[in-house]
Amino acid sequence: MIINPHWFAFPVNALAGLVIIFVGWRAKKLSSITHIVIALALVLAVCLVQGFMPAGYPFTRTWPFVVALVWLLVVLTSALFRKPSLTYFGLWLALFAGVLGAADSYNGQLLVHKDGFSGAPLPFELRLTEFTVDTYPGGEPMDYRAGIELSDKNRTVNKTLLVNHPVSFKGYQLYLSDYGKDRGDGIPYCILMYTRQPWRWLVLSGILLMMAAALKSFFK
Amino acid sequence: MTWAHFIWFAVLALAAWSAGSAAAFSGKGTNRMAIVFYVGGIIVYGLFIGALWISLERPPLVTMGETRLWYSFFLSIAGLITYLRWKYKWILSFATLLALVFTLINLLRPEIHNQVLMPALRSIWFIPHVTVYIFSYALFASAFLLALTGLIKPSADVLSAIDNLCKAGLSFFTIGMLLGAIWAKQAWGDFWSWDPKETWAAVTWLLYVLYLHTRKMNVKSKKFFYLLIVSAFISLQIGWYGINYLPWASHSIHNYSPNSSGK
Repeated sequence: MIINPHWFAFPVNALAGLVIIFVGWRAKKLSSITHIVIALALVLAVCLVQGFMPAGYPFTRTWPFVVALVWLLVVLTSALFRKPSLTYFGLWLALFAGVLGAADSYNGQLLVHKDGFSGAPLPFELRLTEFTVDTYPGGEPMDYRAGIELSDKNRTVNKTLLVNHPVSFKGYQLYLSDYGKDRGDGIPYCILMYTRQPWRWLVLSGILLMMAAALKSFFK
Repeated sequence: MTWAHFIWFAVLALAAWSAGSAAAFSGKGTNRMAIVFYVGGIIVYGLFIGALWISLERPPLVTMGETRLWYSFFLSIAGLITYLRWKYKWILSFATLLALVFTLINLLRPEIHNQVLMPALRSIWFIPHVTVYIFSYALFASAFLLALTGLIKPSADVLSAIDNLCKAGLSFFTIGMLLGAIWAKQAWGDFWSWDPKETWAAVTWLLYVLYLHTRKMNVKSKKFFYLLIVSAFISLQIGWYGINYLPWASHSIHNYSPNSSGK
């Protein structure tokens, strides 16, 4: 059965997080090297299954996969309460925020043109003001540049969207995904992807802490 | 400089590395001439990469052929450092053999398409992400060579050397993975999508992490560790290029060849 992450939307995911922390705190035995190895091996097993999955099947949203990740979180929590470690904490934070944060994450695609957009309801207006393709001397595309106008009741802003350079507005991140010359009516359009990930700063913090730990290991 | 000139540099570098490998077997400890020849080979290879970079007007890090160049380059550097540090006479030979394999593949399949850097790869994360990974691959290759030695010659005392190579390799590999995650958020909207390359990177990461953790347990069998290292190295190869040959993995968002879903 495929899990819909939004079943666990806040505050359910936060509650689950507290349970994970509580269990990790109380279950001292889970901090042993044996338990850490077992938990890692379980995650390895589900990742291997995912490695052989055909495209399209959302194995990462099935119970075995999620349980393996959550179990690793419990074991890591237990280990961290016994012995603080920058590496473990960074991994813990990134996993904690990533797994629980999925319940509050949304994404989808938008088709944007000069008169507006379609694809999903957003709490603001959005339209395409211009689209250019910078090219190399040989004619190959170098950069795709989409000028967009975002507005709500209080203000209007103009931003430029490129691949690798997303734009933020009212808690939404917009990414340039694709473009087209026209949909049969001569009007150029862009396909944008939007995401809403309230927990992303926590995930990023976990990632940065893990990097700090990896860099620190060079100076031992 | 084009791929057409590669053969001259390749032959020169391999000749120097072979001479160095042979010289390593004479005398006690590390051999001076071996080091001189080996460094010479590295410089020749580096010159080709540098000249190719200048003529392409972009870093040669996009096509599989280009990544193989860096791999041979960093692998020989890692091999030299391993030789200098642990002084086993056959390390240079094994490293030369691995570099030869990847060089031969490049001579047979130079991959001259995708001359310019496409919009998706124009990012400050591109060079650090790929080069840090390739460097970790070279360190893990050294560990793999030592593990093979341990399997073939059980009396060889290579486990602590493998430990050190894995620790260093894993630090680089982790940094490469995390740089990829940060870049992915900028480019694709998510830190991690479990696409084939990411999934196999996770498998590889977990195998090396498991190696380092099981080393702290009371495992009597050295063979267990050698086989774990071999498995991890195989997983690394799958994640690097094996996925290009798995039919269900060709949809990967990491696929930047024409007519793929990579943007």
